[in-house]
Amino acid sequence: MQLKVTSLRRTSIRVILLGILALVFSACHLDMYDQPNYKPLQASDFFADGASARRLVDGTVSRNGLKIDERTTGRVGGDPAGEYVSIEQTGVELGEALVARGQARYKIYCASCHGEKGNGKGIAAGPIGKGPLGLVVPSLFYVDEIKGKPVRGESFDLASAPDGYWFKVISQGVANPNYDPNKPPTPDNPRYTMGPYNHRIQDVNDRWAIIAYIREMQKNPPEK
Amino acid sequence: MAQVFNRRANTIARLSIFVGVPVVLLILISVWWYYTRSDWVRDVGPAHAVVQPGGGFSHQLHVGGLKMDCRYCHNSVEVSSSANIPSTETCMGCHSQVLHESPKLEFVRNSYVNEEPIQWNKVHDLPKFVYFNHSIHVAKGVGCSSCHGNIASMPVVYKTQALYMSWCLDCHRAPEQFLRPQSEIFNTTWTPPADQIEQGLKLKEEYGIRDSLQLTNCSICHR
Repeated sequence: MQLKVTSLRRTSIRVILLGILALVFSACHLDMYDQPNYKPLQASDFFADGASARRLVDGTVSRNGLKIDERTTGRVGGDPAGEYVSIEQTGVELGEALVARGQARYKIYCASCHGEKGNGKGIAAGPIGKGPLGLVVPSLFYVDEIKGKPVRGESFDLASAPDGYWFKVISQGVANPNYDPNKPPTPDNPRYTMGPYNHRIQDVNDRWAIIAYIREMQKNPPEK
Repeated sequence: MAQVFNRRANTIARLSIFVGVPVVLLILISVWWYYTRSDWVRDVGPAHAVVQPGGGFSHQLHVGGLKMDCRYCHNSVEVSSSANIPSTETCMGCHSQVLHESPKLEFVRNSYVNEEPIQWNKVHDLPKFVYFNHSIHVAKGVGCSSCHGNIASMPVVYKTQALYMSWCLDCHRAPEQFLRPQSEIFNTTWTPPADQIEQGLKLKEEYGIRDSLQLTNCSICHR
């Protein structure tokens, strides 16, 4: 009898110990650390190209771009073949705040090539000029430097280009006129001479802000 | 009958209590500290720099040398939870012409021509039960370098913080220690002024930052 009680106690202690151990080890699995969902740009073993970020389907319209008008396209009525508009026609609220915003955005996205002073002599402009295409980064703030500089496919020169054209350049870049789509887009056959910035400057108002800032600087360019 | 223990046993017994027990405790505490609190186990510091494909992208060169803004590449940091890793097109904006024959950049050109994404290596990998949003921190006065260190000085990026929950809470309890004005957010060498607490409290008011009770609510970070 005495013996039985001891073994019972021993068994119950063992069971409790086992329970505690089970609790300790069950807390060690990492399901919550690594849940079956994707973080932005995480690699995927589901899609063939290994990317969880999927390409947009052709013709996708961003939620900011649902309204196709002067502000979102830079052309009259949002018509892809329409005349370029001036910034006053876009309905964007003009003023100091817009110019200040434009200055800040310009410094982030434009200054590396076009220069903080808008003279086309940003830190990357020199090395770009030594590339296979020998590109020259145009001045932006000094109108006299771009007077008469032709704009491919347009009747105006760069100095008198309407705001809508600048919007197009920021959004879609400048296509390389000699690009051969049958050849890979290698450095001697690039798609663009200036890449599009629509995916980096996603808010169209920011693009107009940059244009407003450039216009302001053209009126009163900084000392060279 | 001879003594079972000789005289020396007393000393050994005392030693085992006054030295042995602390030593064992010390070892236990060290092991616990190593696995839960140390920087080594969290891969912090230059020794744990994360090497990237193609020998690596140098933030020291691009940010420190060329003075590029963080947001040129990490362009969604102000509007999204994720700061964004740039697409190959962003690299090729310059590198289709700059260093266009460099063998170091071959993987970038290949990625562009073959339309295959570059697989960059993650430096900070938060567990998925943590909700972190870059845009709110940037908007409310937390600068890049508060968490990422002086990226402009790093040829190869490494972690400067172990990202322990207690570290997050240090700031969520008293954000005034770290807040900066909007003009300094992307300054990688920002150092707090002498009157940081005073300035920080003013900024906290300006930014409309919630009180610490709300900021330390579980569901702020665990959603």
